[in-house]
Amino acid sequence: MKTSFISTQSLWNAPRTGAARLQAELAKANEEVVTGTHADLGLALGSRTAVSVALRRQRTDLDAITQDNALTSLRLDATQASLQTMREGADKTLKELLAATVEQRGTLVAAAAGERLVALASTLNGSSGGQYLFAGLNAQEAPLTAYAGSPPSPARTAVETAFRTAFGVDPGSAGASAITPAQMAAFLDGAFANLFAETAWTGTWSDASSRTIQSRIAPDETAETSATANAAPFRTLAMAYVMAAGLGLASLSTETQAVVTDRIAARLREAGAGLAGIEAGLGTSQARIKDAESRMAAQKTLLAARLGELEGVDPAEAKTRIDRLTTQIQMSYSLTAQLRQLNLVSYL
Amino acid sequence: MGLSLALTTARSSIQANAAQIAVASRNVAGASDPSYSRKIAAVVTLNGGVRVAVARASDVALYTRMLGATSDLAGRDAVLNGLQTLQRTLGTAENATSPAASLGALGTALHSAANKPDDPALLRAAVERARDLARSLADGAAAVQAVRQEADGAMTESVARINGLLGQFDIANRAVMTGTALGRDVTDDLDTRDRILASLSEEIGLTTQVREGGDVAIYTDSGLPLFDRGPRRVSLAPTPALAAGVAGAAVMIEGVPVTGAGSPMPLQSGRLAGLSLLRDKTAPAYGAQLDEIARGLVLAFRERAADGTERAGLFTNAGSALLPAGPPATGLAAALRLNPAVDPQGGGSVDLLRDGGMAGGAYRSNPAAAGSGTAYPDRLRALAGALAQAQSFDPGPDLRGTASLQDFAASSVGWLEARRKEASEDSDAHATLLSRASEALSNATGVNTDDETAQTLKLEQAYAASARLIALIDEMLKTLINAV
Repeated sequence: MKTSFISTQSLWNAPRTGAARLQAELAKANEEVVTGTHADLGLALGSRTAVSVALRRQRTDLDAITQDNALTSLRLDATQASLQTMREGADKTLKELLAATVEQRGTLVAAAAGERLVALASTLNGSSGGQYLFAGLNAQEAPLTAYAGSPPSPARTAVETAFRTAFGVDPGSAGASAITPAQMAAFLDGAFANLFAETAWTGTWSDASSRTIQSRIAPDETAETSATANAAPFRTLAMAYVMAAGLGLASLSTETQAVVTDRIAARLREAGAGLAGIEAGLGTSQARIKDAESRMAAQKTLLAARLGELEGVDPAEAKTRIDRLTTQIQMSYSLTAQLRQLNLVSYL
Repeated sequence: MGLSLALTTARSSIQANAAQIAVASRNVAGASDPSYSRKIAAVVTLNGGVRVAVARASDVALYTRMLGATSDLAGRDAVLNGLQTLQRTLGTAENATSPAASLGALGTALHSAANKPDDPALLRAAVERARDLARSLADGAAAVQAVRQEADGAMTESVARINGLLGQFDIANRAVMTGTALGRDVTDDLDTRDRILASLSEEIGLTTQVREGGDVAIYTDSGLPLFDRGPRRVSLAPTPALAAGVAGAAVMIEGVPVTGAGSPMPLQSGRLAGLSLLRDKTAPAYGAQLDEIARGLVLAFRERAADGTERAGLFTNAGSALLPAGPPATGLAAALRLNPAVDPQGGGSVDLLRDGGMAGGAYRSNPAAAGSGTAYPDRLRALAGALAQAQSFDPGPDLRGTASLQDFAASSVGWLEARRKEASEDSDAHATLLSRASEALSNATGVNTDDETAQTLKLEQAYAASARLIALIDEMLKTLINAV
């Protein structure tokens, strides 16, 4: 007797409480179909939410590096173009120098070198995206002071002072023709060359920092992504141009001129090779960025897949769940409706 | 003589029938009241006639189980609700404003700035991310305090309700005792008393003891008397402003603390126990994690002078240049501020983020003079690296250990979600238990209207038979009188 007894209350409540639970599940399944992830991520993952947080952080980090790399590539492209211009300038000057006759050298080459020296300064002062390309860490200051100009640049004053100290006359003055080839060779390899050593260079010519910019191109990889105007090839190039344009080549004796032009040619060759070396170095960085990009793209795909595994639900499964829940809710409703008719009084 | 006896019996039978029908209709009327228990009209033979004694269906074991399940569920729900609030404010993995996500964004911004340190926009962006992070931590600390304060308020309400219910219980208990002594029908009073007990069990875990004369004593689930011939006083001094890291006042029963660390007999279940757990354990544990993140941040961004002195850098403890003590660094998450020297909103210069020297010129790390060396990346890179460097954290037993700041922040999210998952599953399980217990109790003591209707039909037949009997005896007596 007692086992079969059921109170009206629980008879009526049974389908009702079931329906409420089913509806909550239905809402959840609906959201899962729409988003493709668990409706309540934290509840589904529990302590593994920490993994999801870490994966998301890695993903944003990779995205940010990719964006930064675009900026870095821009700077590298601009730097490469500038380097190429300078190298071509050096090559051209060398060709002109070798092609010119001894008489022409003093005037023609000196004029061309003067222009190239101006061009060198302006190229080294080039900027991209608000950064001076060749300033090293001093990216907000123009690295080079132009040689020619008024008032005379410290570099020019230093060169002319050294010339006067060595020979007792101003460059280009009439007395310069008395300078012997040996004297000139000693000056060029000694006092003059010292003016283009890095310490003197940073005092008179350059405001650049000797440290180049290192960029993070992948989560744990950095690369050198700029050149500094203090690098040897630029100094050598400037030296060659100043020799050609600033020492009054035409006023020297022919023999002495030959010494100077030999030095000019040697320096130009050296600078050309050096510039090519810098280009190659930065080219390597560019290639590494490309590599890093493709690696990071692969990593991002992997991360997305792992996040998907962790957070995702099978939409097909969720859809089946919705169908099942809908049927159950319908059944529950129709049962409730049937219960309403199950009343002894209606049959009396 | 025999006829008159038969008439008396038939009369008592009709009376009994009427009483039984009255009980059946009482049952039907109470069918939809969940705390109503089925009344049973027992027919007792007395001196040849019959009388009706009313009893009620009851099942002490099921009722006790239902009370226990109610307390368990209420306690778990209180904890779960608090965790939900915390999680909504900051916990989720997708939430971009959570401390963990803000920390990630700060690291990314620092790396971006290190790639182009001379760009004030990037430095500014990093400082803004730092501000977001400080705000996120402060929001988190505020959420923890809000949850605790709310729990404290709810405990005060709960205590008031318990006192009110105990007063009602006193009245109902007296009614039962008087009724029992006078031999009245006390079934409705018993129902009332049970209803009050059920309400009481939501607030506080309890056990009952039935005594002679229908008296009931209530004890807490830890064994302290709550009602014994009279209500005991439950009290709680509300704390108007709970300070971080300070436990709230304990609930007292007649001067004995029943919640908190100093309680000899702590409550095990019920809303009061759940709220106390939330206010003094769970929420402060999360708060301590936020404080540890804040402490880790101040340390990660500290500046060091050549002589080894260390000062706070980008993040400060309420503007102080000194490094925070600890662990524990209680209340640091709420007090975390950007260094005004680097905060553009406070007139500071974002360049200091790159160069160092927020604490003064001696702490500058950029070797170049101020204004030059603007692409100096080492400091920025070191700061970004510091976020990924292992530090030791001690927010309490759960997450104690060595981890990077980023990982610790992620673990903290994981911790919160794990607690919430646990609480949610617990709560679901206990909800099912309660619904089973209630259903079983309802089936044991509830009313089935169809059964009552059928019962009434039977009674109708019996009534008709008795009436018929009376008519018959009347007929016979008439015949006898006519014959005389």
